[in-house]
Parts: sequence; structure tokens; C-alpha cells
Amino acid sequence: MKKTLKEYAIIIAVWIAISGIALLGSGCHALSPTGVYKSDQVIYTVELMQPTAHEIIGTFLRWEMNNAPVLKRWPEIHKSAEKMRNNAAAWFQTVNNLHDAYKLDPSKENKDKLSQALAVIQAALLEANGYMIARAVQPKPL
Amino acid sequence: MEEIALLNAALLLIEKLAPIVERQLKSGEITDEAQAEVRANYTKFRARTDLFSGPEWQPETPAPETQPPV
Repeated sequence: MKKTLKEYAIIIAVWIAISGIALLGSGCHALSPTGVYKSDQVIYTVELMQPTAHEIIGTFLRWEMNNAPVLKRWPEIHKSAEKMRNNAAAWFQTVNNLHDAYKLDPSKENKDKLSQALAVIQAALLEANGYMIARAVQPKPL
Repeated sequence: MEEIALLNAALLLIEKLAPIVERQLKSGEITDEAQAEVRANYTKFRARTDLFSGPEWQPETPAPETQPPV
């Protein structure tokens, strides 16, 4: 049965949230121990999240750019997009650097730093997802 | 008309991502093949030099100060 847009949005929001929990070590994904990640949930989560997050944020920014005249009615969307345009490269680079540091030294300190950096990207993802869904299910201003 | 364009853009994104995400949420164990796929995607992602070069990534107003990466 085809899912509704709202259901899809909830699925994605849940996934973003669960990916964050997984990084903290209590996620529900079970990695096959013979896989390339050798059961390392942290590295797996980061490597899954980074390209996906880039895709979602990029789609949000394209959507915002292509629909700028219509979206002017909601200035917070442009403000959010500009914040992502100004900071996303640094956010992604930070996570990549911390990913490399954690791979070399999987200490709690490095894991905590990585979790914090990933949380910034997760927040941006939820924001991007939320704006697109809000405008899709509620296209008229209140 | 404009509202329809907005709706379609959001729908496209959600419909594209949702099946992937749903599959991951449902799967009990992530197989070796699935792990290899994630690693391959990430390796490609790290190798890309055009990640932020598209017009959609260019700010209208650059921020006065951007936090340097760690």
C-alpha cells in the first residue's frame, strides 16, 4: 500500500533520530560481524549519514533556490537555507576529520566529539525535512 | 501552479529517500553486501571535489565569520 507523504516524512525523521542514537551505541542496526565495518556501529553510521545528509540538504537548497519567489512568504526558510550554505562545507569537513580521528583512535573522547559534530548535521537535516514537509502539506500561509 | 511545484519538489525528495530509509529501519541485520555498498558510497563521497560547487550551495550573503573545521 502506498504511504502518505506524512508517513514518509515521519519515517525519515525517525531514521535521522535513530542514526543519532546508533552513534551513541544503543542503535537497533545489527552489523554482520564479517562486513567491512567489523561491527563498528560508529563508523558505519557516519559513513551512511554523510552522503545521505549531503543529498537531503542539497535537495532542500535546490528546492529553496528554484522556488524562491513563492517561498518569500516564509522568510525563515531562506534564512535556514543561507545558514546551511554558509556552514555546510565546514560541518561536513568537521565530521570527516573526526571520523578519521576516531578510526585511528576509537576513544570515548573522539566518539563524543564525533557525536556532537554529527548532531549539527542531523539538526540541519531535520530542519530541511521539516520545512519541505510543512510547505507540502500546508501550502497556504496561515 | 506554484503550490503544485512546491508540493512536487517535496514529494520527489521524500519518495526517493523513504524506501531506502524504511529498508534500513526494518532490516534485522545489515549484511556484508549492504555494508560494502555504504563504504563504497562514502569513499566516492570523500573523493568528490564538487560537493559544494553547485549554484544551490552558493550563499546570497556570505557569513562574516565561518567556523573553521576541526
